[in-house]
Amino acid sequence: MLAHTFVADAILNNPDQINAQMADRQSFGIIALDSHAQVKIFNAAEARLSGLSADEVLGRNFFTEVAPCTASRLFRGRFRQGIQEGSLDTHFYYTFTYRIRPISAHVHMFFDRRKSPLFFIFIDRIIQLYEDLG
Amino acid sequence: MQVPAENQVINQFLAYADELLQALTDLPEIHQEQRQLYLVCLNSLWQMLNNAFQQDGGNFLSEQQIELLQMVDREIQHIENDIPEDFRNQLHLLLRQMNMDLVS
Repeated sequence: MLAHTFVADAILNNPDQINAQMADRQSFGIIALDSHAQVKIFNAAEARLSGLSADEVLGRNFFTEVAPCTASRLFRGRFRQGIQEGSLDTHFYYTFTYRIRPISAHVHMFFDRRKSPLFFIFIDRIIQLYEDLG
Repeated sequence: MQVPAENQVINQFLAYADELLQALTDLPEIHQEQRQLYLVCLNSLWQMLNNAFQQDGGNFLSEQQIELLQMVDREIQHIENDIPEDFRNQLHLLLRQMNMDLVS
């Protein structure tokens, strides 16, 4: 069963107020895409946890150039669904494995075209219990 | 512990593909094409497995599923060493732009 979202209501209720400065103040990853999946915001927490700098990813296609293992039915499929329908508020678990040390994350996707043209991906990384922390 | 059927299928696929490549090494004129086709197959396999394992996002991948994806990824990286970078990049772009419903 999915845990409750880690994103505060104040953020979800006001997506038009999310900008780079505000995003950098959050402890979890925030990525904002336009309708073509180009990265518009890549916050400091996401940069620190992914090892990619904002300069490297801004303006690039998230699914084909930044995070290839998200070009999947679940991850990109939900993005496309949200863009087509004009709104999306969903969260799911995702395990990133492609070319990196496996990372499990709780992903919250949020899009409301009436409030903001940006599609938001909030990412909270989780350490698996079976992982060897030694 | 019993090995999941999916792991057995993947292992058999990789062994079969490897044997097929070995059997065809007497045809050097198409060796590069074989490697490229094998790379396409492996990348598609990785996409299909990732889609199947992630399902609807209700659970994380298991340790076995992660190991399997990484095994295929290691094989992809091994093959990529023999493939021109330009072709590799074109292939990656093509596969990532494909309709995900086709590889699920």
